[in-house]
Amino acid sequence: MPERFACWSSSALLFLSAVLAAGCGDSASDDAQSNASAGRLTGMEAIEEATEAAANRLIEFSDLVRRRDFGGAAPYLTSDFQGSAWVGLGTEARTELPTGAERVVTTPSPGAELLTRESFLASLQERLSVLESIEYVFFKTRSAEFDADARRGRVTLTAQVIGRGASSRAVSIYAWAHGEVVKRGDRWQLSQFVIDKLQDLERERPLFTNVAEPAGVAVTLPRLGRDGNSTFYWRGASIGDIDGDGRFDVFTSTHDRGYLYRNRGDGTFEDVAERAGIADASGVTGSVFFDFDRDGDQDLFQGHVGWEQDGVPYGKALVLLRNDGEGRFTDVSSEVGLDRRMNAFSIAVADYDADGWLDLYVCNYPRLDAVYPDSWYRATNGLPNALLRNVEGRKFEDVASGAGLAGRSWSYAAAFADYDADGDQDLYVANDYGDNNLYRNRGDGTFEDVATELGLLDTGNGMAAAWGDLDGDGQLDLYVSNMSSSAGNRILKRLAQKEGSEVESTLFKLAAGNSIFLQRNGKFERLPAEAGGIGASWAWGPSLLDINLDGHLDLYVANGFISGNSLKDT
Amino acid sequence: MVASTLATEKSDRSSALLAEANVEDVDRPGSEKYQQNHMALIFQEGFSFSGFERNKVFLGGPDGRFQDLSDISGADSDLDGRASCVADFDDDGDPDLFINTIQREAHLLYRNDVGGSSGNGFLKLRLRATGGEPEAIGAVVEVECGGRTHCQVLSSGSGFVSQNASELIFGLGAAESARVFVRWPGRERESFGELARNGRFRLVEGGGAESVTARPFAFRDPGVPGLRVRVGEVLDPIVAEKLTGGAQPIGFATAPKTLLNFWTTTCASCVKEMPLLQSLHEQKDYRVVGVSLDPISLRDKVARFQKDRKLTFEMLILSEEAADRYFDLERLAIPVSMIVDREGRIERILQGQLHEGDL
Repeated sequence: MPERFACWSSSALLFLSAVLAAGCGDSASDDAQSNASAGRLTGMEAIEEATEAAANRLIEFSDLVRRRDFGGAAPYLTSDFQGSAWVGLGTEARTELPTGAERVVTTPSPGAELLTRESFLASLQERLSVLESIEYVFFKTRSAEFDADARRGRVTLTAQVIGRGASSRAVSIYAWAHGEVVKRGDRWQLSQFVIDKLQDLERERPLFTNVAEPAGVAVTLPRLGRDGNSTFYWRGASIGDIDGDGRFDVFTSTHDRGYLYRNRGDGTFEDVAERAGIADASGVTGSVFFDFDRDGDQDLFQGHVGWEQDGVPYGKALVLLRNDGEGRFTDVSSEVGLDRRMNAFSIAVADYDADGWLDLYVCNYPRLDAVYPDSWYRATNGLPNALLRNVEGRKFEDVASGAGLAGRSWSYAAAFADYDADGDQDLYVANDYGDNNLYRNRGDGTFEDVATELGLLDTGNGMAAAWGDLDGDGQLDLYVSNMSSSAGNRILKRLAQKEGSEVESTLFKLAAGNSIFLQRNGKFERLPAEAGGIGASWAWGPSLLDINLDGHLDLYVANGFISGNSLKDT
Repeated sequence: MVASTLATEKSDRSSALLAEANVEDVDRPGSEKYQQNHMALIFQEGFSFSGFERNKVFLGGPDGRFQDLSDISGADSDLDGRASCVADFDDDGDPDLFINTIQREAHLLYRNDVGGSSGNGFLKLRLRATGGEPEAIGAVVEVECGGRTHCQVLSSGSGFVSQNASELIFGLGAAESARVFVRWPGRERESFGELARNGRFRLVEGGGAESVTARPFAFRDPGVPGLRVRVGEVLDPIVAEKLTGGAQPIGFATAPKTLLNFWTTTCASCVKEMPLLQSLHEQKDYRVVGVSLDPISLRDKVARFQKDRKLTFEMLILSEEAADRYFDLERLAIPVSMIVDREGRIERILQGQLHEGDL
């Protein structure tokens, strides 16, 4: 545990250097170059250094609060600290939410008195006493500005508490606040914490339970970067019925092997990878089950990261495994002409040419450890994606170039759907470091990119996309996930305050979060941020599902880039 | 270069990186040096970069807004999730989730505990095409009920490196039935008539709706989070400490049944159950031992608490190091009580506040 606090946080400064470097490198704007001159950088750097130092102290404070060690937490507040009461703060407004959850928003009474340090901690303790267990506490620094001598600063903060109340009730407390930090000696302390709004969220129990352990699919890996988990390629998962028993099974992989979890139908899965002949699936990225040869069972296609250097092949080529109908798989890649090496990530399946055979679209994302984007937001040095046309189950040929789908973007994910209901399969491609594509199928085996005219470029770090009817009007809408970083937002807010150049507004979009595009009259409109659903962080796959079966699609978004030993990562 | 950067202290490192960002020949974020630095820091030293971010759950509703229920979802893992796949694994009518992460707990299986208990109806639909490729990938299913039409597309590969199950699950809310249409890829929209709620069907192009037999099962609940011991296990002697200081191992041979109660002074439910523990002690059915999990430095506070409340059963305190054998204190919900027999075998584990009649 102590180790988690010993390390230095680098993300904000890395982000800052990245942003400024991107500005410097952008030849399109002379203004941007002068904006990023040395004087401004120094100021930005000092602010960000101070912000991180103060923010990291609050992370330590958070952990002490989580352990209810209020004595230990006291020294993080100044002796003349003043803070809002956590109990009886003001007027409460109650709202019932989907699933029977309840939200209570408390607005502080005007002129509410601030408490001393000891009373503040006692009040916090009382507030948390309804929690039988506290899973998570995070006092997070959202923004900061400092006096010239960098000894005193004004901050905006959020405080988040997640835990279980009596009878395992799901409880969370969330406060929006502002306050002050001061540096005494070489340490930052919080001298004021004024709650602007407080939200309690409760439900009789959580919506989901992680049953990986009783279901027999729990696997523990070493930290990323350690032996046994040392490749920088993202591994996926796919669902299919491998043996035709009507139950859904799972293929997934880790650094060094594949797992094929057969659903036994009794609450447990068994890993049959060995028996099925696919245990040696090290390094599989994306994968899909589909019936490529139309013999009635689910075959498995696996993406890998593979490349050639000076004529020498590295990594692995794409793999197609034929199912014998009983869940045993044979590698038929070379039989069907798949000796291709590419850096495959997400894979999408559809019969794009309506010839009755399912084709594959494979996203080709350059190797993270070898190639670097030539622009932070309009990279052109990605790799061409593949459209693998299925020739009657006998052969796959890459026709991406002729179909107009190859591109040179950094493509992470793609999703087919006939969004315009004209009978053919269109394709949305989410690209990192640039614009996304909406490829409209012309119906003749070729595609045209209509993202610009339909308002679907969503410039930024596109990570993934999914189609669904998000407003229940019978038309398909689109959810696009993006990368968003708190540090980035904080820094960019300061940049934008100074002066808004075109580059800066573009950069700001990069850190802004996910997007929901609703289809209306043949075009797509961005759902306003106030409607919610987009505030994730470093987002990956969105899943669209109706969790509570009320007829309205809900959203699940996996989040987070890399968690190291240190929690100190603002 | 990388090694020397790693060797320096924080401020030097930051300055070095920032200095680089300003040097023309070191160029942009994608630059080799930038990338090497940041990958190396993450890999070799275990730094976080947008780490420990919790997964998000947003609930849609009739007002077109999405409510953030992440913090009470039970699915807001802070692990670095990548793939996220939807399937009704237990065939109970609501969608579950399978998540693949990049490290630590690699596979998460989120059982949906709200759909089935919501009282809302569902339709589970599989497709079979006859006029094109048989799996009907890309088909759009429209469901009309409660005065509105919503649709879903049968995708094969969407999200990030993920593939959902080839079955569409439609929530019907309170509706008894719904009219169902399929827009087969490149072909006519076909009506499948009115289908009754909680039905499972295979919609065959030109062949009607075939009923699919329901075969639901239940995933077991996971063990108590944070507990490293199980019922039936024989406990190693617990080396606790007296409130006055000094080691005090807890043996079990002296009483037929020992009730161990793990608690802290700051936990409201723990405090509330103390009178019950005192009366159990006085009735002599159990040998009651209170074991405080407060920080060891607070032993005086625990002693004061014991005195103020006039608790006469044995009261000890467990150091964080000693507790680690039995608990993951990061995840443990307290209070936790265990009933242990003479041999030290755990007969029962009771989580949460004890009430009359629990024993």
